[in-house]
Amino acid sequence: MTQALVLKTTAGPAKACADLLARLIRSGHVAAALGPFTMDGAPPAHLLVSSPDLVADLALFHPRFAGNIAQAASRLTRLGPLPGKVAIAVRPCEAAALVELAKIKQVDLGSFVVVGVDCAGCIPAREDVAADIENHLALGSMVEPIRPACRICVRMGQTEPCDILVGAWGLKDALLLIPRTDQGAKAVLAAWPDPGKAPNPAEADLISEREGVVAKLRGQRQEARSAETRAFVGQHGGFEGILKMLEKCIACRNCSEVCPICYCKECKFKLGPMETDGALALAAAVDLGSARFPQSPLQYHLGRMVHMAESCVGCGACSDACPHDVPVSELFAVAADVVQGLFGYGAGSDPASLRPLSSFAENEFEDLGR
Amino acid sequence: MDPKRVIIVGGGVAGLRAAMDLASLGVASVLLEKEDTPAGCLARLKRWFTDDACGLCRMMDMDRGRSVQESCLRQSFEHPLVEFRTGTRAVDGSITGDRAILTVTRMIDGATAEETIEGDAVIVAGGFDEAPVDRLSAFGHGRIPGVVTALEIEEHLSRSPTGPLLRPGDSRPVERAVLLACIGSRDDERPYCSSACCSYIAKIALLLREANPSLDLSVLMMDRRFHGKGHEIYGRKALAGARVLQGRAAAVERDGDRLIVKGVDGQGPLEIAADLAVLSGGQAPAASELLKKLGVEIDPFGYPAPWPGLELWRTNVDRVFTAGASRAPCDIPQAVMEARAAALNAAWILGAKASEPKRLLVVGGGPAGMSSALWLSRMGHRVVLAEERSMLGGEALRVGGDPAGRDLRSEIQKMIQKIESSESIDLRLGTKVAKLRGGPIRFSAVLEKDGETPERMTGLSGVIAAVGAAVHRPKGLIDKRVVTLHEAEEIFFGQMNASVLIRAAPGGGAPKAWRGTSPQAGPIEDSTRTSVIVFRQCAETRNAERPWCNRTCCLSALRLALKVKTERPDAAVWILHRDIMAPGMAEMLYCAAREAGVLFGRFEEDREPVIEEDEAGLRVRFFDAVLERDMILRPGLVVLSSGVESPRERLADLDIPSDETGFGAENETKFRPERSIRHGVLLAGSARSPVPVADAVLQGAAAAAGASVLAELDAGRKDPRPSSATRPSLCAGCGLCVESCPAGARMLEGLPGKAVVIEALCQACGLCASVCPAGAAVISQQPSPPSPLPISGEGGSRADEPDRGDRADALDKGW
Amino acid sequence: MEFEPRIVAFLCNWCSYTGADLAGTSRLAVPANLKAVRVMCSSRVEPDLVIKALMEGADGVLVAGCWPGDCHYQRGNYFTRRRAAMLKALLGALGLDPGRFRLAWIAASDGPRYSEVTNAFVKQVKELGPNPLRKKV
Repeated sequence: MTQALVLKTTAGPAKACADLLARLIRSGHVAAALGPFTMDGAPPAHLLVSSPDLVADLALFHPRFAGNIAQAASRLTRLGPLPGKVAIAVRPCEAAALVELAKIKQVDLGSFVVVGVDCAGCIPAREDVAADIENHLALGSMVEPIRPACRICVRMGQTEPCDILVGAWGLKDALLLIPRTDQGAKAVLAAWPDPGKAPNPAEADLISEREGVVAKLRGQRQEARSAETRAFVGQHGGFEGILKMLEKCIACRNCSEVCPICYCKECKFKLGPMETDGALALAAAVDLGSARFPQSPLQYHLGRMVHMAESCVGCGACSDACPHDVPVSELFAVAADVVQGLFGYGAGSDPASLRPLSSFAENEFEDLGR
Repeated sequence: MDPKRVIIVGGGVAGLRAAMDLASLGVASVLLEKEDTPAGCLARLKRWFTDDACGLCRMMDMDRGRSVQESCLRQSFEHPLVEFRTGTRAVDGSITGDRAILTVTRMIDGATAEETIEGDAVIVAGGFDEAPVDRLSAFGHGRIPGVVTALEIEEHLSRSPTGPLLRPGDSRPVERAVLLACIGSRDDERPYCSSACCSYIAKIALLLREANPSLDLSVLMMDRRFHGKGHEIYGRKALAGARVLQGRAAAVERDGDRLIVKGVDGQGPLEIAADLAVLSGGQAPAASELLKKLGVEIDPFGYPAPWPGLELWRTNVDRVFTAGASRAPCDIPQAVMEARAAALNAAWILGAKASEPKRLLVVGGGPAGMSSALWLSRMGHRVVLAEERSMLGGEALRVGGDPAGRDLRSEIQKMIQKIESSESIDLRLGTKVAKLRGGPIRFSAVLEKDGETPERMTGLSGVIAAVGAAVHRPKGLIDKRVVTLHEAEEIFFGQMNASVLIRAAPGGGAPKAWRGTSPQAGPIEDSTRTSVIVFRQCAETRNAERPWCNRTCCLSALRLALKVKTERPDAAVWILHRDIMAPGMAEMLYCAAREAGVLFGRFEEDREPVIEEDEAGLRVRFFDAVLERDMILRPGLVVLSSGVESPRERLADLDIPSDETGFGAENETKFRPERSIRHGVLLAGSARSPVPVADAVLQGAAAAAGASVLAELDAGRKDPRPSSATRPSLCAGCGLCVESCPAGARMLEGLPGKAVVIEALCQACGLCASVCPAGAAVISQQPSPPSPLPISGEGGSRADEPDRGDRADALDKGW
Repeated sequence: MEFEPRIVAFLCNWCSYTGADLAGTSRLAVPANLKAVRVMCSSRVEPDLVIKALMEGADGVLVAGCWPGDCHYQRGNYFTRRRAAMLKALLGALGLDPGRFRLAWIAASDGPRYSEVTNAFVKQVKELGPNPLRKKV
């Protein structure tokens, strides 16, 4: 694999990374770049940019979460590959979502040059605070105040399915460019065709400095995550409390809409039988005392849980989108840890590992069924 | 005039399989079963080797097009084209011209009623009875508590709820058990080997240790005959943890509440104390009387005399066929394959043909492939037979003889001639099949021939992989006097001048002086140099790298050894072995070899014989496990029996999965032995597992039967039945349904991909519907056939129709 | 009045339904609390169907299939087993008693086991009391 490079920059990591993307477009290696973009300080949205000049304004390392960009990647390519390559800048949770989507043919990774960037977390969606992400990265700390999903994120150091890793942890005025695949190496060569002008090889201690920060943060976050997910249900008052929490839910399905993993064209839980068959609804009202409309948000959430908890990458787009601040991402983090832990499956970590609920082993869970 | 039908005697595995195959070709049958339920002896047992599971119902998948029942085969069997008569015993029969007339008896109101049944052909699949052990009173069966037969203990274990291992009868806890092989088999009265018992004993060992994990278990066997596909691995796994002794029991004596097994092993007399002694008596044929009455020639043991040709299922009576354990001792997959071949043959003589001729590909022109091609063409299909070499016959051309004395060479030539003169077999010699794409009903293959442009064939309904296996060349062929078994065949059957290689013993005569006979002295050396040939069995096989028995080497070695002894009675001919794999009637070949004076030396797996050369010539040194002494032999010729290479790579070229041994992986080891895991591909011959030529021909016919059923699914005849379907507007093309479908009935089509169902293959199990998160995969709402079982009783529960609140229904109403 | 739990039982057609029928014809005691739904394979039962049953008034859900290795479709019950493991773990983590869901392998010839399993399950669910979701749907 090609040697890691260090990109020295005084303009800051965001500009430096955007410059990389611009170079890829200028060299013709990619036709466009897909990344978060903000206009006049508004919250960022995802933009497919072909003009290298506009690329320079991409809001990389931004404190706001713009939704999981893997969903945009999926929308672009699930009907077929793109006619030209696109560079996509992804946070670790977005990279993980790409891995999961590729397993179910909902994204064509071959259409992308995936540039994974380090992420110090995002600020809570409803808050409006100043946050210097670039400083946090340099210092090796997560942003404060931090979004609930980011507080329990353990994805720092995510490598799949990135062609190039952009390392920022523990670095000041510099970025590490780590090509991970042949495609990544080719891209880096295309960005700096003149070896004289190319960034220098990175010193080994710079690489290990970053790795050290990654490992430390991951360890801290793992502890925080374990503690939080274990305590969540109890803190909310057990099952009764979860029910109460979900009573706020109006079944708008925003959470499914923004979830990158939810790929169904039409949600199976959108309409329950009681919502289409009046006689059934009446019978239920008679039998159970009442029938709720929309039908049981709990059923919707539990149903969605059993469908996608195995693949949940913990990006938290769901909580951001909820109009009633139902802590969906934290609830799903509990579910994800339980289901993924049960099968030793790490969503987003290994493109070759099979999704647990659509695969099996002949000898496992020997106690069940007896 | 009544439509033609076949009478099948015996509603066990073979009978059921034959009935279903006949039905798939539109041929009616009447299935006679003496018990009240189908499945024969299997109905008494919970699970069977080698996967230690049931799965009898798995025989019924491909036949769904003909309204085969959808309920457990242990309870009942129903099919529109099969008249299933339970409680009916066939007691007499005769064949006149082309009619068969059988007399059957039934019990009606406590009295026996007789009836005649007419048909156009008969398949006798009467199964086996456990060989009676009571004639061997020394073992105390029926007299001493704790002495049981293998079937008895298995039935006992099948019935008891989970709990400690208690012996039948007095429920005494069993801490120590002994399994005794060959009690009532391989003896003077019943000299044949029951073929499947060693694996059966291994299963009993597994069952006993499951019931009592700390059981002290000893097994007394003369040979560990794990010759079937997958049995070597199974046997080792099952017997791990048991003490396996090479020997034989002579008696069981009572010792208070316990018993003492007395016998001999290599080292001398032995005694084992135990709570439970399991006698494995083997199989005795259950249909001898009927066969005799039908005019079939019977051997002294009640089995039909072996057919001199290669179609094992045929008898001397044209319209009478046999299959399964009443033909010869066998296990489940063998019974299934024999039944398929017999049914296909019966259908053919009744004039049945495929409802639509289909194009089928047979890869490999050895005995298995030729057999498949011939049978498929007889059914009216268009067969392409592709053989890589420039002539047909495969490795069978190099086999000198057959354990039952068949004239192999001429039989193979006959097959070759039939193929060459057939108009419906498209024979491609010198042609390699390079790629095999697609799936059942829609295979496409690329055929390559030197000097020609590759040809792509599409629309193949099914493929039979009869690619065979290459001969393995072991290490240690240090000298031209050390040859492989295949080369030895050529030597002895005219290809090479044998006397050049066999060094005549000086002066000849029987071995007189053996140095070192006292126990304290060193190795026993045959210094008289009268050894002529040493056959060294299991060379580089039945070990960790190649964990299978090659099935034919012991038979060939015995045959060749006998031939040498017949021509040179004074020569010392040795067979060095771990076990002698002479199952079934081949045991008599082993007896004959022993009687002729062939010498047998047993060695253990961890001490392999060493073959070297010194100034005096070849030197074979081995540690005799019986004498517990080193022996040194000085033969003129050493024959290494090392079997075949696994065809893993050749199969992988065709995207056909192989199992851990590298031979073709079966779809289901018991009930679908002729089918590959890859849907639509069938396996026959050595590509599946090394077998003698006659068995390859049998497997070829069985594969043809399987391909035939597949072709019928492809033909227009379909009964309405539930099937999976896709709602394309909901389908996101994720492919989860395609991956999980057990029948390979789904695929993604188009761009963007959408799931599509191949209805002919769909089993309507519903796995796709449950795996699809969007509810895009649905099972059509046609009701499944009504259950044949009565639902009654105060304690019973009623089964409702499938849940009404199905998503498909809701969507239909809501939109 | 004593609480009688309402149990939805999904029985696979090949083994467990045959076993259930055998229990019936053998006049073994089988609780009346069960609403039996015959499916071709236990793998037909998707996890959200179990959730739905629990949401819509069932106090307990039983899914019965063939012993691993015996599945008519060869692999269906392996999927069922994974789903059962997931449901138990998930329901437990959310505070709903996993004892309300039972997976049972029942062989075709094992009428006594069907009787045993169903009686024991009804007893277990009785002890757990009515499903807390009954009033909260």
